Amino acid sequence: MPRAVPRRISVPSAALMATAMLAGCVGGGGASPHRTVTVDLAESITCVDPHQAPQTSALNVARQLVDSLTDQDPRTGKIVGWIASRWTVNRNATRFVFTLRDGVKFSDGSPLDAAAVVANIKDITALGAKSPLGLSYLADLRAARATGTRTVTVEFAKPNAQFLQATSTPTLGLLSPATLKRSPGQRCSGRVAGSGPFTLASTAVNESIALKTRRDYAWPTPLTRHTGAARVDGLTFQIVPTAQVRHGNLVSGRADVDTQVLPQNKRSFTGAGPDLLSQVRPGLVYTLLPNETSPVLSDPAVRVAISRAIDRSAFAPLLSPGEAPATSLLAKSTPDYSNRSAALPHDPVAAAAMLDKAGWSPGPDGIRQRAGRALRVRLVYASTDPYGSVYELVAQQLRKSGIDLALTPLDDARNNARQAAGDYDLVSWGVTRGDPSVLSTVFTVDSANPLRRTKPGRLERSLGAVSETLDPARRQQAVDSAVDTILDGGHGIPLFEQAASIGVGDAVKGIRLDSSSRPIFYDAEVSK
Amino acid sequence: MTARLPPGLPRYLVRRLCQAVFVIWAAFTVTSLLLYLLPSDPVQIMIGPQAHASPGQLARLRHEYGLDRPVVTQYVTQLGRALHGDLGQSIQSGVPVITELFRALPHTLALAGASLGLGAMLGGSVAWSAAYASSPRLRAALLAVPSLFISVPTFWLGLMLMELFSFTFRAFPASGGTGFASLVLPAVTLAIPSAAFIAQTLGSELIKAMGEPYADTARAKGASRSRVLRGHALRNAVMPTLTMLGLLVGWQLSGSVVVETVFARDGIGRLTEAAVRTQDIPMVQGLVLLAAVCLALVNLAVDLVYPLADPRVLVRRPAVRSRQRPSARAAAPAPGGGR
Repeated sequence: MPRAVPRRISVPSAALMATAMLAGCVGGGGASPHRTVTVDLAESITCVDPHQAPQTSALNVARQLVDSLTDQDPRTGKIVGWIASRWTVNRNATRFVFTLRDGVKFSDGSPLDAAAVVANIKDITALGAKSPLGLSYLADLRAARATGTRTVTVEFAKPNAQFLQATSTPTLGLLSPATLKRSPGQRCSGRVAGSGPFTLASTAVNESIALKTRRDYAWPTPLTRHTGAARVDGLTFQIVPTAQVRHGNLVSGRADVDTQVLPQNKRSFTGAGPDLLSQVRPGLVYTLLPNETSPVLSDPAVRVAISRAIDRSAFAPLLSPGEAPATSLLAKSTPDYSNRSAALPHDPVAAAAMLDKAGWSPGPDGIRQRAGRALRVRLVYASTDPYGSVYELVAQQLRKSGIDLALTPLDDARNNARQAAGDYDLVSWGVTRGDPSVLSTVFTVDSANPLRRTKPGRLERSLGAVSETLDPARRQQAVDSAVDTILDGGHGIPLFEQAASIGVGDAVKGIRLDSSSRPIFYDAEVSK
Repeated sequence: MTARLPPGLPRYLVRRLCQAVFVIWAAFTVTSLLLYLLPSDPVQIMIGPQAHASPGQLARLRHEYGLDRPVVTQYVTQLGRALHGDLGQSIQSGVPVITELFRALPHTLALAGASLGLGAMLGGSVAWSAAYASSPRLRAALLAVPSLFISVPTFWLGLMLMELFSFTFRAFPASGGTGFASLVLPAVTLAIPSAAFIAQTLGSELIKAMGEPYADTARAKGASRSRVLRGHALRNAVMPTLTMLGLLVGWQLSGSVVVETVFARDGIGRLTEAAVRTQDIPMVQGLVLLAAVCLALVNLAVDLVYPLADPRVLVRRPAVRSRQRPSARAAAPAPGGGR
């Protein structure tokens, strides 16, 4: 057979040739000159409806699609008008009356009037547990009604001062009445029309979401730098779960924005090239929350001793740019924050004295004991928590004071199950919210209640005062007193302030962060 | 036509089909059991630990997803619905599971197909070269290649390829699933370990076959080494490799979890990762069912190809001893087997 000879090398060489051809024929797929901003998000978006989705990624996208009644200045925490040009609140913060600006239209052409706002509020209430964030914003809602074509009255059964700030969040963002008639599932998969500067153009699930600029947009918040339509043609959000890939995309110019820069990559932002936008997230700082039904932590002295045994100043090398050891339960950027670091000293001597007094004496292995039982507390958290190294440091510090902090990182499902069942001694939560009322959503009996307390008491009275007023002086006093009550009782052991770290390529200018540290692209410009 | 079918074929087919149906049902049932035995609550996961929903609101949601009914009722209803092609709704997104599966499947099929093809070419080449090499040293070196390929972690390989071909040379996109270019790096990443399996199996079988007496006979009759490889050894070596290919399809599905995440592509792997993480029960069931169907189909296909490669599989009992080894004549009609 003469053909046998030439064919004997054909198999391997064909493979090589095919590979070479694959590599050669598709070169130059880099970023083309465009007026579109490409943004890398870390998590998939299962739902783009801002009323339903609680995830950061989803809200980062939804924020560009919807406007809100109000906006919050990230520097001062002050609430400013947006779709509502003005508003009044009664003295005990149970009745809110908003007057809407004129001429605002949803992207499907329907007018944004009082009836539309009422329909939105009713929609979120009707979603119930499908709107996990909306639940707390609209708790104790009594009625929402249109008291004129441009006037909306919202009434609550109990004082609800946080509602004003809640109206600035994308969760209470305004969707068109036609959107609200669709099923929650349809809305999740992208059938949403808002009144924002961008509209949804296309969705490739788990890969990307494209937004295009709305040319007739004319009602930006007063916190923006220009008026009229957004300056770019559109936005492309890419879902890129791997941090190193997001970073590679940003540095190589394949993406303009990385919404979640990891601490280990922060060095690459020092010289030329991409910039790092960082801003402390307002709300509850990352805080260890004790299960007060646990045999060890039911004793306030042990909880306070743990706080005294922690040296917060040592966290710095493990934190991202903009992050800092906590100086209160609230982050600096939260309205009515005041420095409470005097209540958070690193004082191992005092901690030892407290533990001695509580009956925990040093054991042979360095861990304190009482009645043959070791002083061991389990910290349950998600293994995806980016602050695992901080918890390891805390465990080392506590060990020096004879406290065994057992770190228990779990997958999301088991972490959720353990937290829901109260099967932990400590959990670590940070809750972003531009209002001090965030404390009520964590520390009261009638809340998510990670402390597992059963009877309302001093904490509820003290936090209730925060809900009852929007008068600045009275509110500041109420917040300070609530924070002191929580710290003195060891109900929360604050660790560090969390910051948003957002990498921005040098081709893009004008991105700002809103009060919840979400990037806002309305003012963005692409220079190349 | 029927008259020309080999006598054992219909019986063989029925047996294989019944096995496939049983495997699919068993996968569905075991997954259901496992999911309901897990302590956590998909509804609680959906709203997150920090949200405060009243017990009534949670109960309403559980009722909506049918999670408040007894396990057996849930299982029977779901099985009944699944038989009619209705796999329920994803708890996380509210979208019908079947819609999600059909959306994601083409992406993963493209990836798996490209990587299997590439893997077969690469693995086949290594195996062929090793069997063909006359120098023992070269052969040993080539036979070590599969161990190298299989030891490289997919995650790391993906990142390295990306660093080189996306960020440094900008030849291929690093993420996304649009266009042919976006398929190249993920397919190569997934093809490397597939190639290892194929090279390992095919290589050792080819070398074993080359040591058989019939190979010596063919050589003695004057056939070249390459002709003996193609005409005689390959046909015998290809059966275990076919089995391996069937197993590799399953491996592509699990490998896609990592590769689709690293390369930020939509697909079955991404769906699986998210569904397991959030305990989206209907979604996990749909995915398990899909994987079971895929594997059953592939196994069926492999079973059907066996008789083509070796008609003896249709005979229930090995017949006469002299037919145990196919003669050189029986193997002759497959000259292009190495294509």
